[in-house]
Amino acid sequence: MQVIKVIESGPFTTVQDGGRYGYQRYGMAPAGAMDEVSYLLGNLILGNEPNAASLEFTLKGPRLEILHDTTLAVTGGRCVVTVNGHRKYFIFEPIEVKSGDQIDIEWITEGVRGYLAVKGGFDVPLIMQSRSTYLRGKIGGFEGRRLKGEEVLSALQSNNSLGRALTEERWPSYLPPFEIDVIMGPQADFFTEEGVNTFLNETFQISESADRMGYRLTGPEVVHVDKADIISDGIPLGAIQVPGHKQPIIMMKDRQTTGGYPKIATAASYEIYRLGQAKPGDQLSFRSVSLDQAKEKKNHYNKWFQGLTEYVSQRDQGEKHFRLFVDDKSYYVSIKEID
Amino acid sequence: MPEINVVPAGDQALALEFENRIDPEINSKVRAADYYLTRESKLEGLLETVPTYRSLLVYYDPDVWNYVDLKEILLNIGEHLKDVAIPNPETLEIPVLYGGEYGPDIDYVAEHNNLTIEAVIEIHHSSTYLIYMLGFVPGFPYLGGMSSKIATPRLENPRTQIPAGSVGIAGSQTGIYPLESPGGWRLIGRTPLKLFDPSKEDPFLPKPGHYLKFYPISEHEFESYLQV
Repeated sequence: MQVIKVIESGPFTTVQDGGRYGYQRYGMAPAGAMDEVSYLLGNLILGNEPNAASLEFTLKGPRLEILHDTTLAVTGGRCVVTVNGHRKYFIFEPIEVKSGDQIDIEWITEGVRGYLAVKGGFDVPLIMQSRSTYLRGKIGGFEGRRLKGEEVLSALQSNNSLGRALTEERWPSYLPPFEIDVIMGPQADFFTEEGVNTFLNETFQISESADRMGYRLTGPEVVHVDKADIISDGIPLGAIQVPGHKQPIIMMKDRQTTGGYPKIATAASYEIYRLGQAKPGDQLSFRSVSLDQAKEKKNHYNKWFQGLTEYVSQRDQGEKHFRLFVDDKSYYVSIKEID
Repeated sequence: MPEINVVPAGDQALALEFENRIDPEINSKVRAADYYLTRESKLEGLLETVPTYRSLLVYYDPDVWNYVDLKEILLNIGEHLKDVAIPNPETLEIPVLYGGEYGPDIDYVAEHNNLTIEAVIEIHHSSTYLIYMLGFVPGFPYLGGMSSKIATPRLENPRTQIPAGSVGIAGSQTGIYPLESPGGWRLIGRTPLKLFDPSKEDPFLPKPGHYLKFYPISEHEFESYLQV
């Protein structure tokens, strides 16, 4: 079922799902949503399968024309969604749209990536068990490429009932500066004590060279003991490698699976979604945590995340939610029968 | 120096490392450890492995595993491997149309090494190459075992577009481009086979830890491969 026509794609928009796993041994990056928290919440708000495909946009969302009545949800970086030029919606709420509606997703003001989920999920071919676009491999998503405009996208059928909006105080925060927990290694011993101290105590900035593969940082030099190359090995998600130019690079979802630069540290798993919302110019610093501390914080993160997913998945008995527009002002209204 | 080392690679992966050398014997240990973990061990919560020259990156579910428990198992992998029969590596045969428009640098490789073009082809396809690992782009094999007689430095100005299937030499290494990409390898031929075909159930031809052998084909054979 054709649901939307992309009028303008926005600066960088691709189809993503949870990622394509099991092929890193063959040199293929997993790809997948950079901010897995907001991506998943978008699907749950619409009652979708957790792994349904969404559009991941960067800096600004696409402009769309609706081709068939459906429900959308925009999640992730803070932005405003406008329907037919005057009805304004927030992120993290179901938006009912009708055929012919014109949708504009405005510039992101906090974070850098947003997700546009559609009821049922976007219907693009399942390639090696995933719908994620992997640009370097030119596969997945919409013809293995980023959207350029003029594409017509279909959605899968879904009769699931909707979840509910995530209230603003529950939205994940993406405000810089980012203090990121890291586990030192696997090659921290390739760096001098001074190099490690610089890495852990100084502030770095994300450079303009930041994309789904990785973020180059600029800042004080992180000095190696001797050489800046190793016999190539596997690059884990969130690895922070430092080539000969002494400036760290954080490896993200479209990273090369193997490489020959020493990795001073690796971002903790629970930091990845926040890193996915960091943008050029943002300040970043690193804090070393032990594996025990990481475990404790991962448990905390799991609880927080589970709380969010349960919240949006709830279908309130006898309670109704909708947007009300009065004099160009927009209200989110909950109605409950009390007697 | 201990023969095996385990280091954390974040809180959802660790690296099992063998001696720090590029050596077929060490790579076979990586392959054995990988085989044990992915095929034999039946351990829950292991998500994915990435075998490389001398180490194995193991992604695990941090909600299932403690690093120290998994490390303990891996440090004793030698014990576990005693009772496991590791199947012999297989040899992947790759047909190559050498020279001509598909191998525009073969003249240079010959000249650089004081060889005839026929000798370059002969030397290149008589070796059996170990696929140490895959990386760089999907399906790209890092091969070991090329004769130093045909070693040739990279192009000073890399080409912006090299067709998929191109076979090249860079320094003392040989390789195959699985996808169209930019690159500085000296191109000596092209294979009509797709090293990476996402539409297949098994999308990748080269497998880490196995072997690869080239064999020369004619232009006519090349064309008929493309028609299959």
